[in-house]
Amino acid sequence: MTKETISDKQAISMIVMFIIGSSIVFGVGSEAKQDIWLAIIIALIWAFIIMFIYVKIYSLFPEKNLFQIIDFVFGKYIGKFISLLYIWYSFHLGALVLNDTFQFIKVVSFPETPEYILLIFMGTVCIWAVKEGIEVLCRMSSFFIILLIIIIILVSSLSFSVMNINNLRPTLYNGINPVLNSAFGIFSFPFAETVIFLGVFNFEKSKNNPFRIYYRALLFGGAIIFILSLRNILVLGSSFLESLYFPSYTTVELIEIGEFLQRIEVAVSVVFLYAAFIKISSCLLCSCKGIENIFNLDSYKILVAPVGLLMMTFACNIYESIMEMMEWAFLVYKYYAFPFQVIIPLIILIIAKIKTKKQLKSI
Amino acid sequence: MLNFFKNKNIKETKNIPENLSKSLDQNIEIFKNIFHSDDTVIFRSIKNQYDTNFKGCIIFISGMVNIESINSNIIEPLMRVNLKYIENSLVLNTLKNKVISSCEVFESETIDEITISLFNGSTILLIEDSEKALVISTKGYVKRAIIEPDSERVIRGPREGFTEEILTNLSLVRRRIKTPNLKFEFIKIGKITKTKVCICYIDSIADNRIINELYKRLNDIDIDGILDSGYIQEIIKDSPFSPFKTIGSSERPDSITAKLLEGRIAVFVDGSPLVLTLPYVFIEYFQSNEDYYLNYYYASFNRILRVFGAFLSASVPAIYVALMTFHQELIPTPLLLSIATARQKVPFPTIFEVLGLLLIFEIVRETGSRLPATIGQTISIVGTLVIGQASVEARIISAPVIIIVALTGITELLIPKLMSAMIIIRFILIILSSVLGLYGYIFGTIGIFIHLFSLRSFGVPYMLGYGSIKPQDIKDTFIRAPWWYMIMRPKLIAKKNFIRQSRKSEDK
Amino acid sequence: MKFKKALLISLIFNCFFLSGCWNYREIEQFSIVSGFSIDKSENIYNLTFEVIESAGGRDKKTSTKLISSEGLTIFDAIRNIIKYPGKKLYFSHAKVVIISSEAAKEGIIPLLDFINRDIEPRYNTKILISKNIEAEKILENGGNTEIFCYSLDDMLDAQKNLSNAPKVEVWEFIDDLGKIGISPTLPTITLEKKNNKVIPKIEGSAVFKGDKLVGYLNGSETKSLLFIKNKIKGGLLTKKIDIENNYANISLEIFNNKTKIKPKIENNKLLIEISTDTDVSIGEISGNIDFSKEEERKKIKSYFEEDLENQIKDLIKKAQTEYESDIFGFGKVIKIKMPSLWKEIEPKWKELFKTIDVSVKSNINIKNTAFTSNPIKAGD
Repeated sequence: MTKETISDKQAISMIVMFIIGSSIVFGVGSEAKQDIWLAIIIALIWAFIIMFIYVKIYSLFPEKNLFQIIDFVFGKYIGKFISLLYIWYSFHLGALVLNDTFQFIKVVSFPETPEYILLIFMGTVCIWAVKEGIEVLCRMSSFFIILLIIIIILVSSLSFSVMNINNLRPTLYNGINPVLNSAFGIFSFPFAETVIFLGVFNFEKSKNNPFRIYYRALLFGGAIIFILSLRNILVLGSSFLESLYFPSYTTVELIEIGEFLQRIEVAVSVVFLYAAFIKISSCLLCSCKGIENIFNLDSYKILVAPVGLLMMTFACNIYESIMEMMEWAFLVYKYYAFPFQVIIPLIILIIAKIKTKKQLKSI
Repeated sequence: MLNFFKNKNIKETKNIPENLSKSLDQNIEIFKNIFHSDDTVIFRSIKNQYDTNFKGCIIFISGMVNIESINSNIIEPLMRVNLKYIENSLVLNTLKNKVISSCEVFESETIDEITISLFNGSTILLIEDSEKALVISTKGYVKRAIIEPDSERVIRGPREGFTEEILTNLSLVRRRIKTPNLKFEFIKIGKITKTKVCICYIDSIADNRIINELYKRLNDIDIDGILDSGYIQEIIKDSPFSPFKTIGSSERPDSITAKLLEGRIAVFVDGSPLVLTLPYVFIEYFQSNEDYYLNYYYASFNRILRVFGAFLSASVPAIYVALMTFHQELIPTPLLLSIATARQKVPFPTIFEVLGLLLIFEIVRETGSRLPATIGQTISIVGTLVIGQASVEARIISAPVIIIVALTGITELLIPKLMSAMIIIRFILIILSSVLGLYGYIFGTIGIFIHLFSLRSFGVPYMLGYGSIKPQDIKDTFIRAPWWYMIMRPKLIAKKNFIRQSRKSEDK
Repeated sequence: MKFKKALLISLIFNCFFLSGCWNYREIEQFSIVSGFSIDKSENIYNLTFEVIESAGGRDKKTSTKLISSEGLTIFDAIRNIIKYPGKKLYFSHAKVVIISSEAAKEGIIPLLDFINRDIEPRYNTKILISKNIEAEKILENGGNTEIFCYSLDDMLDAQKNLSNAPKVEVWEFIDDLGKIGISPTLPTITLEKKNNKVIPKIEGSAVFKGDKLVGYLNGSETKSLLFIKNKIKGGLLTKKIDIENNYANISLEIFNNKTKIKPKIENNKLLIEISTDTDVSIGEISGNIDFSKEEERKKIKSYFEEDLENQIKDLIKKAQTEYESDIFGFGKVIKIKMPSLWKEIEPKWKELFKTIDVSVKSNINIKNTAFTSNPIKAGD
């Protein structure tokens, strides 16, 4: 087997798919109401700053992934512990998205179907894809992304007729606080979740430019989320939007052009499932790579099936209901994720800087 | 067939010497032994007019040789030319150089080699006092003419097609590429059939690693016989369980030439008019050689039509099942009402209707494709009348399903090469849709894409060119760019030499 | 090993074939509801559904049938249908909900919650209020249309050429209901006797305050309402005019309208300025006015402008005094245009609305005179 190589473009499309992931259908930052566009921009700016840490870590240790870096930075024992934390984070995130997926399907279409059936289908394709390796995932996402963009553009342009610019006004009516609050939410879900990719990619120094990959992906993914959220708020208005679990779905449901061009909300499901598939696979891949590193295994591929099955079981039992899930996603998650997304990477970067300097001196 | 192999096996185990002996009688005896109970092998002893000591015998297989050429170029000179004053040891040489007027003559002493040349239509000349025999090429069996292949018809473009005769086929390619860089390398595959296989590539373009890989795989083949290139195609293909082809085939010399120019490698197999090309990528299913001769707008339109057709053929029945049984809210109201009307009093659930009718369609197709054209028509009448009209009238099957199946069938025939894979994909998707509706369908497509994207053909990713929006990458995928734009060859295939046209021609 | 494989394969197959029945349903297993009505009497909801019945066979025909049921909640009533012979109801293709005015007077939120919450009914179902009559009666007198509720849907769509009733979809209604500073309105439907036949008629609108119905507007008032809300897409302005004792009935056809609402503070008092800008063409003149002259046209224009202004003013007065309900969304406009002011007045907006000053300015542009330039003349 030749070494798996990925191009910048493929990596970008994979991160973009990851960012779109479940945020496309759940909608982000609804507490900012009509100022959601502002919240997204603020979140993007924060994300750009945090990305700088990630990229810096990458450029300090080219061709290594997060877990190898942690091992180097913290030594054998603390390193293993922190690796475990990240494995948990990505495992938990994967289970969350898996949960999102079947909750969505269950609410929207199949209230009577037992959830484990949906889980088995979604989980199986993810396990299969991860088994085939990162290269397949990357190439798939670079294909899917074209499909998704076409669908998103078509569907969004169709909803022009039901948009109302007044839904955006007045700006900053409730002050800046709810905006900042929701920006923090958007920052942690989905933008800073890209910390997972530190564990997914082993970039090649000669071929890949992590700076370009991360920033372009963030810009692109941010733009898509921006457009979609703007569309939702323009169509639905803030008070109605707040009461909905799946604003994108409802937005598209309202499109009715003539007798025939209507009822196309399935397009949202397609986009969501493709993106969620990439997101779950990335999380699964990340946790498998972490476990591989902890136990010094030759290949993570034997781990994929057991870890994937565990993730499915976990997803099945993690929440009692969709209300609980929403509460977690919008109230607790941002605080829970903060250490993983910001604090630990920052510590890694600082210690790594010191260590590499020492190394240079000793040479 | 089985019997034939058995007999051969028995014979091969018999004790036969490796080389010829000096005595003519003994040699003849050896061959008579080898070919016992084979009356097509003719032994003809010959004596010279002048030299009474000269004793010879020619052996050939009737039907494989050109009798006239044997008569006038071998037997007549041997009888009429004066051989009296030639030294015994030089007889064979003299015969070879001065007497026998055939372009391809060589000496051989190994019985194996002689036997094989006999099978290839050569005539063997054995003479007294010589441990060597002359192998004279007198090939002359009846061949099929070069006609337009039925399976790949074109409106515009050359009308030549390959035949079963490998040398003719090679000549058809050689006539189109006049460069010494075009290489033909022969190997023999098949323990019993000893089929000639020719690997053909352009040295300056094709990737050496792919050639080496191909050799490795071909040399690993251990089979008794190769009757068609399909054998090789299946044995050396990458993912053996995949329904998708990872090795292409064509009956048209012009498309094989085009593939060679892109850096691909062609494999000719004696006895098969289908020439293999590799590596093969997914988009080649949708390419037709005619695309490159026609106006590029029209060709691109056809290309998109084929891609769309493939999508429809794979998805339409599955989506129909999903919408009808899970997602009635997604059907526009007027359509739902008319379908609901059509489905009244139909006894079968939609899924069985669709599966059953598709099965019937496949049966009709398979029956029709093997029958002579005249009976084929009857089948189609039976198909349309009985299945179409009557079953709808009798309310056994609803009319929309007939439309769906007809659409599926027609679009399937848009890309005949993809048919075998399409049937499998379609049934998988239908079953998934009947379990989980459109979500099952989406999971199914994700699965198919995982499979497609993980496939490789001789190290080249199968989905080459997808997932790209750069003009130079998609120039020959969903669209067919104009020729003046196709400057580069496909990147991962023609590693050595990308440039198809020099930049100068673009500047004009 | 072989046994294990066989077991695995059969398990997977079982997974496929035994499973396909949770949400698997054939079209003919349920009845498609085209629309339904909600009545309420003494805390019991009375629902009537119009159900589409399609008969197969050579002469394919669709007809409808009415089913009624009752229950403590809407959902309860829907499920109670199962007690009676028939199939399960399917709501995704319901296009119209008719709510009786009696039920709406007691609050409309409990009636709409099911449509809002359940996934089957769609958000672009349209709502109608049956004025002073049980909603059930409307469905019963559906007339001879093939599917009555769908024709109601078409009638509501066609209202854009008349502008006598608003077209309100469930999501718009819910959105308006939830917002502070605007009260929703709904189109009304009544039965009218015509040629010895009772037929339904959509005209006018029902005014809500909070989620309770408080009154009605007639057709022309509704037109004024739509003018204020900038929702006029078409329709006519008709008036009898006399110019120098030349009486004529004139109809202007509306092509385009733009209404601007501007809150203003003048002399420490909140003033709302409404200006309409309407493009019309002269659609019909039954009289003897030569409007090829600039002068005459100006007169026509000013007559209509004045008329429109008065109508709008009357309506606002009515809303302020009679219904005390901000159906125009003035509060919403103030919130958008003057957010800081709105924060102050929001708690007392209900009181403030009753006394707020409104100025109306209408502008009508006669763009063309349709196909002919002059009225038909009697040359004698």
